[in-house]
Parts: sequence; structure tokens; C-alpha cells
Amino acid sequence: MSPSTIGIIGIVLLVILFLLRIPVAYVMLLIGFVGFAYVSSLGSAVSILGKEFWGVFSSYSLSVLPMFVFMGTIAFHSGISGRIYDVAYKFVGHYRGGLALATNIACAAFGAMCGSTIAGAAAMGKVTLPEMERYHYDKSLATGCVAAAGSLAILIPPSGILIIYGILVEESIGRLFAAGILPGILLTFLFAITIFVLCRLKPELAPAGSKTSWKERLASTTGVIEMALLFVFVMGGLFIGWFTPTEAGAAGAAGALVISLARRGLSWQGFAAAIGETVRISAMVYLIVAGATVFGRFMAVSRIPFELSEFVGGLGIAPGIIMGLIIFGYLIGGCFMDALAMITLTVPILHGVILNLGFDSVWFGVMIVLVVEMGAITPPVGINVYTIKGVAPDVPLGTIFRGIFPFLIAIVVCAALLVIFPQIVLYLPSIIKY
Amino acid sequence: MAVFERIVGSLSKYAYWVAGACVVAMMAIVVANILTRKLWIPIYQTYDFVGFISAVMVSFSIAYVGIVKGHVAVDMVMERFPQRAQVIISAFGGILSLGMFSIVAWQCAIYANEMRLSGEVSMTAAVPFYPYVYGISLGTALLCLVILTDLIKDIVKAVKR
Repeated sequence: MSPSTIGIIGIVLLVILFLLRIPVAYVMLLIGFVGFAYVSSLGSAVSILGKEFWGVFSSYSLSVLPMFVFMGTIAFHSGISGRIYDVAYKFVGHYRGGLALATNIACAAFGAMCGSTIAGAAAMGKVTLPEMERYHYDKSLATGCVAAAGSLAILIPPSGILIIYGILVEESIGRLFAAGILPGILLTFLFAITIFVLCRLKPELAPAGSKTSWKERLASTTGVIEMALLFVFVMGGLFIGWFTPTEAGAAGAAGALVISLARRGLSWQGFAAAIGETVRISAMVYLIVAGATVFGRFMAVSRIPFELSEFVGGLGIAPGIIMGLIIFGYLIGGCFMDALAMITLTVPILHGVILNLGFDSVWFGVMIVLVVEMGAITPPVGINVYTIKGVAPDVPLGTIFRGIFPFLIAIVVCAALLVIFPQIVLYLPSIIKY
Repeated sequence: MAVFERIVGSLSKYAYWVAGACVVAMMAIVVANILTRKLWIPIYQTYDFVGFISAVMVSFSIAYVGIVKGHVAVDMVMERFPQRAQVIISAFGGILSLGMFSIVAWQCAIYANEMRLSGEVSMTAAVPFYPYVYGISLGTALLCLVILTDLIKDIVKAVKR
């Protein structure tokens, strides 16, 4: 058997074992190890394990992840989501569907502190859903808008998915973060238009709120101003080269901690929970990266990425069509598989193909995040939908999925705009230093 | 079995607390380096220390994350299987995982030993690597015990049915 045939068998076995509920990290490690041993030798496969585990677990570049996760979990437990929502509501609450608009804006702002779609949906869902229920908002619109807007957290920096992508393809985390900003703003805007149009077409979906004075609006901003400044400091410092990504994350976590303590917004239990969640998420991701590294070694010796790249290049099909097919594949995969697992499995195989076709690595990273966002809100996996279901147990899953559909169209429109105008993604990375 | 499970659970939980302390320590040292770099001189060993702390944080937390089922797995297909089939497949997965992580724990111990004998130290802090590699071996061994506990439970369940 040729190495590439063994590689293909390995990928098929990997998917089968995934479906048997064996943790993704374990499966990648196992198949990577056995495959590498088969193609090269048992001795060399055994000898790489210690080195790879040490390399991944002690990686300085990966330490950016726990630091930004820590920043997000502190923000989550300090009650900042409520204050952000209050500000957003005071500014746009008087429009029809104002609470939904405020939710959308608040989710985007919370995404600037937090890089996890689940945390985004959970934090904002807890704050916004009771309010929307109180004002008799349509349940479908209310839950759909939080589930969709919660996913903005992985596009607007810091983003856990972009960090993992950057590490897998050795791309600058700073450039990837910068690349997420304009698409994040664009998607927030498209979500807002979606809410506006829905409320225009069906005014019974959501009432308008009372208008607040400019004095009240400006007064409300004092609740979030320091967090906004922290975001500017952390991301600005990263973009102009003051900080490495790990330093930016650590400065963000320390700043969020100091602000939360000064505001007395973080209890001891909240602090302990923030640490616990950071450790849990980090351990899960590090182990997947270790598994993916061993699996990547197997893929390299099987020559699958190179042969796939040559094969696709020789097809003579327009790169745009191939990219469309790849994105479609991600979209289908994202409906059934965890985002992190899908990315760590596919990116090392497909990245060479993408570069060979002439696409930009940073642009592709942002496109993947958009597709992952779609996966997070589409059935049957739709992790954000289940998160919202946890916050609002009385709302049937079907109602939430129905509410999400218009927002899904907004994400598709956003993806199409990024394909037509890649400058939306690539402009900011082109002007930053790091 | 209950005693064994309790011991493994306690050990994993203590290790998890150490991992939690590592998160705070990592943040503190990186921020201290930023501040001292601006005000005085950088802490040149930061890069090394972050690597060491990170290694301890991850290796001491993977076992507890295994206990709380925090390692990502795809549930969708298995949920549709009968209960007995689920238990048998879970035991099969447990055997494969146990075998794999036993090899990792063993190989990390060998790698640490090689580093100890060769006297390999980090670039700036000149601290030996090997204790941290032994730490990874210890953490993965603890994960093996967690997987073993689940495996025994699955086998007992499968036999009882």
C-alpha cells in the first residue's frame, strides 16, 4: 500500500472513531501514532511522542490562549454583560425591536472581551432574554437573535478559533485578530438590518421602547468605559507591536481583573470559576493540539496534503469554485462536528491547497470563522442554540432554530461580501505592525 | 472500586488546583515582565518560565477535565445506539485510549530521563527541563487512571446487563 492510501484509510478510521464518542484529541493522537508507525517505523513513532507532548504543552506561542480565555472568563463572571446591554439599550432601545438591536450590539461589544461563542451566547442570553420576555418580544426573534449575535464573539477579537488557526498554520495572531474586526462590524450591522427588516415586516414581533435622553445615555457609558479602554489598550498594543499576543492576553486578563475588583463586580466564587473554566478550556485545547500535531506528522509522511494540493491544482477548475466547494464542505461538516475538532483536522490538510490556489491565509482564517459561526447556530449540533435552550428552557428548540434562519442569511451575505471584497478582511492586517 | 475512584478523583482535583494557580502565575509573570521592561529591565527568563508554567498547567489539568468529560467528543451518533451497545463501544474506546496514553506517559518519562542525563537546561533561565517533562508523564499517567476508572465502570455495567 502506498503512504497516501494509508493516509486515506487513517482519515476514514479517524472519522469512525470520532463517531464512537471517543474524545477527538485521543482519536487524533491514536490514529496519528499508529499511522506514523505504519508508514515509518514503530521506533520513530514512539520516540516522537515525548518530544511532541513537551513541545505543545510548553509552547510559548500557545500560551496566548489561556491568557485571552482568562480575560473572557473574568469578563463573564464580573457582570460586564449587564452593563454593556444597559448602554446599548439606552442608545437604540427606542426603535421598534430596540431590545433585540441592543442585544446584537451588546453581543458584539462583549465579543471584544471574550473569544468564545458559547460564553457570548450564555452571558448575553442570561441578561437579555428576561428583558425581552418582559416586553413581550416574540420568543423566536428573542432567542434567535441572542444565539446568532453570541457567535460574534469568535469573529471580533480576541477569538479562540483564530488563535488555534494561527497556531496551526503559523500565521501572526495579531494579523488574524486585526482581520476579524471589520468583518465583525459588518456582520453586526447585517444582523441589525435583519432585526430592523423583520420588525418592519411584522411589527407584532417586537414593540418599541421608551426614548432616553442624551444625558442618560452618556451617563450609562460610565459602566463600560474602562472595559472599552482596556480593549483599545490590549488590541492597540498588540497591533502596534508593544505586546506579543501572550502579553496582550495577560495584560487584558490583569486589566479585567483589576477593573472587576475595583467595581466589586467579581466575587471569590466568580474568580475561582473564571480560573476553573480557563484551565478546563485550555487543557481541552492543548490536548487537541497535541493530538493534531501527532496526526499532522502522520499526514506529512503519508504525503496526503501535498498530493491533494497537486491533484486540486491539476483539475483545471477555477479557484473560486474550489473555494466555494471547500466552504460548502466546512458548512456541512460544521453542522455535525465540533468547530475546534473540524479545524484541527482539516486545516493542516487543506491549508497547502488554499495557498496553492492563490488565496490569502489570513482571509481563509476569517472565512473559516464565519462558517464555524453558521455551524454554531444550525441544527443538529448548533452549540449556541443548546446554550440558549439552557438559559431559556421553556422555549422549544424548533422556535429557536426558526428564529435563527434570518440571521443565517445575514451570515451568508457577509461571507459573500468577503469573497467579493477580500479587502474588508485584509485591509487592517496590511497596516498593523505585528 | 469506590475507594479507587475516590483516590483518583481527589488526586485529579488537587492537580487541577495546581493548574489553576499556574494560570494566575502565568498572567502575573507576563504582566511583571511588561511593567519591568518599561520601568527598568525586562525579566529575561519570562519566555522559559511561561513554557514551564504552561506545561504544569496543562499536564496537571487533563485528568480532571477527563473526569468532568470536558474533552470534546462527538455525541450525535452514539446517542442513537441502545444502552448496552453504548457501554460496550465506550469500553472499546477506553481500552484504545488507555493503551495510547500509557505509551505517552511512558515515553515522556523516558524523554525526561534522557534530558536529566544529558543535563539539558533552558536558554535564558538555565533551568533543567526534565522535572517538567516528568510532570507531563505524571499528568498523563493520572489521565490513564481516570480512563481506567471509566473502563472498569463500563465493564461492570456491560456484565451486569
